[in-house]
Amino acid sequence: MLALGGCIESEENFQPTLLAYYKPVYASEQELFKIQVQPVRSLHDPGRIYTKGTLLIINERFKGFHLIDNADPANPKPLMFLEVPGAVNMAMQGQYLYADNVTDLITIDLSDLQQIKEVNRQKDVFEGFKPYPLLRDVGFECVDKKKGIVVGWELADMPSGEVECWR
Amino acid sequence: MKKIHLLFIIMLPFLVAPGCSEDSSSEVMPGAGLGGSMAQFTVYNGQLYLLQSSELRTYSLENPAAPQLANTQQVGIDAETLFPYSGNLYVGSQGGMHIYSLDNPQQPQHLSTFQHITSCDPVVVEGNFAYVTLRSGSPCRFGVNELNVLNISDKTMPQLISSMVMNSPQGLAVNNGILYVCNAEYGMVALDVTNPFNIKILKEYKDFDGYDVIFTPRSLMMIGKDGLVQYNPADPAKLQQLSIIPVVPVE
Repeated sequence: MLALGGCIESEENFQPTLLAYYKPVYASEQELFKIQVQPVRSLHDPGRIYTKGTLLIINERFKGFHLIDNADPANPKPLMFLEVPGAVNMAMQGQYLYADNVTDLITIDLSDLQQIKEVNRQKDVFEGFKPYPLLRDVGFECVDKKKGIVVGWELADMPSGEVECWR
Repeated sequence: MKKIHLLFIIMLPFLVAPGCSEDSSSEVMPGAGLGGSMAQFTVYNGQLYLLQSSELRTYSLENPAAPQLANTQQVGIDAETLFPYSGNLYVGSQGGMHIYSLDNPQQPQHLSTFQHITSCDPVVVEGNFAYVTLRSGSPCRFGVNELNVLNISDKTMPQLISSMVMNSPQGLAVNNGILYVCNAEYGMVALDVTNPFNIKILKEYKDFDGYDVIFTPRSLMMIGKDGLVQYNPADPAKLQQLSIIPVVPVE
């Protein structure tokens, strides 16, 4: 099933009706395993959600986590963005957040939100990303290795012209 | 002075409030949080369970600052979601729903598999019933769009007791006989499942795209392509919108 990856350009392959178009999310090799606290930002491509007490976490697919003070659900207050390249999964025990950072399982201490710390990293727990989205019947921007390492795929507008890469 | 107080108010309740914690050990900030039905990571009873490719991995959180791999087992390449409930772990996969016993928390034991047509399927459980949504469409283009209700009073033999056609079912949540099912661009539907043999539609909420949903007594939180919407869950037939954090398209 996964063998049909990458660009399919042969005319014998009938291009299906494409349901969506994706473009790669790149990270540089230096950035790949760097966890950083960033200012609040807007939701763009939200994924999973998680809540503990009054903390609400919204995953920004393949990019990290929006941390939100949800003490008043009528008035949620974004606190910061925690940049974790490749992240799509999270869970918490006590003060610790577990997340996927490309190939690694990381543990982040959230006990002091002013001083968020990575406290544990287990290498090569996850497989990392393919040079194509895992979805079928989608078009995508062909991967350009010069731009960095693919850490995920985000929705983009379908180009008006021909779609070069699809699966 | 005011600022300092505010900081305390903000910081303290996050991690101290019990929320949906499952254990009550003497940690400063005990317990697990709560994920949606699409979760592939879940913390339950002091373990972190996660899906990686075809494996279910169990990490001991005896030292929660340093998870330690305790068990790895094959669950099939298509496993997608984890839902722990009452000592069992429910695994949604494209080929069916698996039930694992967590009697030994560090060694999940396979009890049964309910097989269905290839489809994506998160699962949630309340009491003796499991609610599974099947959806078609990429990457599950061969699937069907429906909600299945399974009787799981015998964990070794889940049985289909009813199903309902849905538009495009995604994540779901159940609380006290009310089932909330996300339906992608069709929004969300609230169902009365107090009699699981005879499910009734309470109301459809079509204003926002729905991908997954979490129930807490204070807020029903739904995430989707339009953003995060929160409802007051007091009256499921008439959910009051509390707030929205919108998705802002990037140029």
